[in-house]
Amino acid sequence: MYGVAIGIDTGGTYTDGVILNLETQEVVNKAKARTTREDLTIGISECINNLSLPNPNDVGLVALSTTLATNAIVEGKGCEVGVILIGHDPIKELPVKNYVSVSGGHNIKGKPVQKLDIEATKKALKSFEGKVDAIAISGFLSIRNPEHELKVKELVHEILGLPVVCAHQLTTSLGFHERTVTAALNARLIPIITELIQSVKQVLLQKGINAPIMIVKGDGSLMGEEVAVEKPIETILSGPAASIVGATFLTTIEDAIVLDMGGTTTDIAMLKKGIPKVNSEGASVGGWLTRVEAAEVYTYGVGGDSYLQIDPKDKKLVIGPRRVWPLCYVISKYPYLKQELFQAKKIILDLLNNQKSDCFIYLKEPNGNGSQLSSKEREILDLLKDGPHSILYLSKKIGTDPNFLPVERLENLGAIARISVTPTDILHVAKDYNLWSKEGASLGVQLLADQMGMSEKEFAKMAMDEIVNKIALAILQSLVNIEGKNCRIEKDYGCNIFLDKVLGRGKRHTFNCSVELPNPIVAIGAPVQAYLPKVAEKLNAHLIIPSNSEVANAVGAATGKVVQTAQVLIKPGSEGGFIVHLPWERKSFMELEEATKFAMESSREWVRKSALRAGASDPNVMVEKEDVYSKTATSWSDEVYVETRITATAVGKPKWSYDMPGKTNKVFVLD
Amino acid sequence: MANFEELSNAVIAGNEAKVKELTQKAIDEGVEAIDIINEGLIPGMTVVGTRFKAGEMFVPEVLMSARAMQGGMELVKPLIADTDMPSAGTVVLGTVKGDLHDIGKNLVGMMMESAGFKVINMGVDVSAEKFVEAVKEHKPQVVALSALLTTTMPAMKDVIELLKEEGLRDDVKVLVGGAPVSQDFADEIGADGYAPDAASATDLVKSLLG
Repeated sequence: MYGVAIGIDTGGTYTDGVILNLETQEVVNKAKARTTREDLTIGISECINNLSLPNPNDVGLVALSTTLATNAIVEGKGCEVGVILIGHDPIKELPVKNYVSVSGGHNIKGKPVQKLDIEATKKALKSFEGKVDAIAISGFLSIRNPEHELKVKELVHEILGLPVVCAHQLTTSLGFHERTVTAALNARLIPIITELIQSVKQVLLQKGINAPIMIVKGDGSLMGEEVAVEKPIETILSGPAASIVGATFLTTIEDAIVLDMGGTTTDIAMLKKGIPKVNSEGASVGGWLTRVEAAEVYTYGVGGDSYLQIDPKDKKLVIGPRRVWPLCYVISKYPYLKQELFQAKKIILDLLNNQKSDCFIYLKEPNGNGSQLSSKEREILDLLKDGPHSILYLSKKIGTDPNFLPVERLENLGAIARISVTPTDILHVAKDYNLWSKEGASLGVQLLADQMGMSEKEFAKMAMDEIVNKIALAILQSLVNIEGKNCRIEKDYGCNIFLDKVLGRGKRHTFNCSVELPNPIVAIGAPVQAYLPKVAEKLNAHLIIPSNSEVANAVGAATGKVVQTAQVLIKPGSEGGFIVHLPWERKSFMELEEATKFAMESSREWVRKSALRAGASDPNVMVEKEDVYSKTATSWSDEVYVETRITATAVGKPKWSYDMPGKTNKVFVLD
Repeated sequence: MANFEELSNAVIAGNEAKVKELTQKAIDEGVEAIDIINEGLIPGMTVVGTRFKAGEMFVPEVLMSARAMQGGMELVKPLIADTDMPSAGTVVLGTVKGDLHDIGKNLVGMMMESAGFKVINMGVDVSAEKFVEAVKEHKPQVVALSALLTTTMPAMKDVIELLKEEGLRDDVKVLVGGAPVSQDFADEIGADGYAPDAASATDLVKSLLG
């Protein structure tokens, strides 16, 4: 064995692990364990146990993609945080109890509006003593001049000595409230992520692994533990990002549309040069809009377990967004349901909210507030305890019209689950899948087909077409959004004229219309083999379905790069001259040329250092400059100078615990 | 029955004395104040707007019409309870910091008022902070910014950025205008709309709020 990386992804249900040989680009081994939400380390430890580990000394890197931060925010967990606001009162509710606002802050040009009130700050910090475990600092327009935030940070070190982070270090975007929320949530997560890293280290040490730990960020890149404990908020929404990066590693393609089809949803994202496109407005978690740049992922309610319904009004097939259990799966376990569904065939009946093919299965006794059951609900639950039953069986037993059977609330309480015809059943009927009961799937499909006056075969073909169209539309919609357009193409009458032609569902052919996707579609997830070839054909796109795609997320963790960026803004000063707004200071210059030179040089050095600190070895630095001029409507001058935007990016492979001999460059870096 | 057409024509002609006289006459006859506005004064100004856009009327004439209309409005306004005043929305309007140009912006204000908007005219040389204060106080649907110099155009971006920092950007539509301003510039600084002249500004506001 030559040198491997371990990638681990703690997902909602499973913790996936892979051992990756980066020299040969092979997945050496993969394993799964159940995610233990109460203590993620248990699941991680089990997952590592299930991977048959090579010689521990061969492991050069352990990379972890974790939902820990996301979950903690959603569940309101974390330590007590004190927030110092500078120059502005909180605009809306903050995710903390302890905050004080002191005078200070800057204007849009980065000039101080008021002097920072040092005495008030000291007093505020002393009042936090013993009450909080971490401090967040957020100043008004600190992104245009961070001097006040930095001064307060010094005071925190002097007076409290607690972990502290400034808002301007987490984001350079406008929005005082969102920055404050980002900094406050970040501070809240510090002890949680520190503990996770410590316990994972313990687990690894027990196995004799002494490799650096890297954590996946929401944009799919990696950071080392030193940075992770400072900026834990950057790990939010890293799951989908890791899948995207993993998918590209498995295919070695750098520009692609990545599509991940699961049971409930289909996620679509765009990948450029091996890096997912990020959402510049910031990621939203647990109802808090942050300024954290996470991968821009579009989610659609179509998956292998989507509920297939026939709209009672226009007799059209509706796919999802609800998730149900596939009939074929449940019938393979409870064959007697076949008899119940067969009975349903003979009954002529119009259902509004349910399908004749619907069955229900008992999950658990409901508990908690508002879970008092009506007598009929109780009766249903008791009937289902002996095993799943069809809706018609239940309504006959209870003596209620199936339209009035009170199942919805039981479903919402999580006491029972619905079983019905799903895309997975269609695949069984179409013989694309042969996992579970084809007979069961076929019975359900017949019930729906009867309602539409179709044969089983016709219905299956129609449903296949609709699912394919739905996925194709999801891809087009995502691309429209990625181009910055807000249009819902499916709801737009004009768009539909052309979409019908693109999807081949139009009736007349006075003109034809087709689209072409310049980038390939990389598809991962169990059902993509069945649908995506047809989708790609309709969209004239090149399709790639990589092997090992079910562990793409863990692969993504192991193959991520360290990426650090800095955004610098040069703006015209109000009295002539130019102002450079760097992430760490503000500086004035007389000439634009001089300002640009300074900005480019210092940001280059800064990102290089940041990348090294985040665990990169030998990062590659690029500095891009964009001078923004705008056209004017005057005769005396054509253009007006708006600003100069400089983006410095350092990209490097993570440092290993030892140097790999030879061809290292080929291994990690995708671009 | 009041002669609304005559009133409208007086507005178009920019005859302030005549407008006042006809408005007073209608009030004395017991015509509803709202009807005087909606059927006499506003239709007159609408014609002015259309003709101005088509190049058939010029700035001085439009200013006279607007003043004539104002004359009529002053008589009618006291008769209407504030809540009954027809209002298509509130607009905060001003010329940006460092810029002292007034007339074009006032023309826009008058045209918008004539179209039923409540206009808060902030004057000239208005700082980004002042605009933000006005947005907090008046809760307008629209902020309209004017600049007549290429050197003050960047101040429009400052206003938009400060609104963003204050978390108010999504609450208002930002409109930019003035001789050197272009659609390209409006797009670049993230404004919601650009209007080349006063009549189009009113139409634009209507369509943005529509």
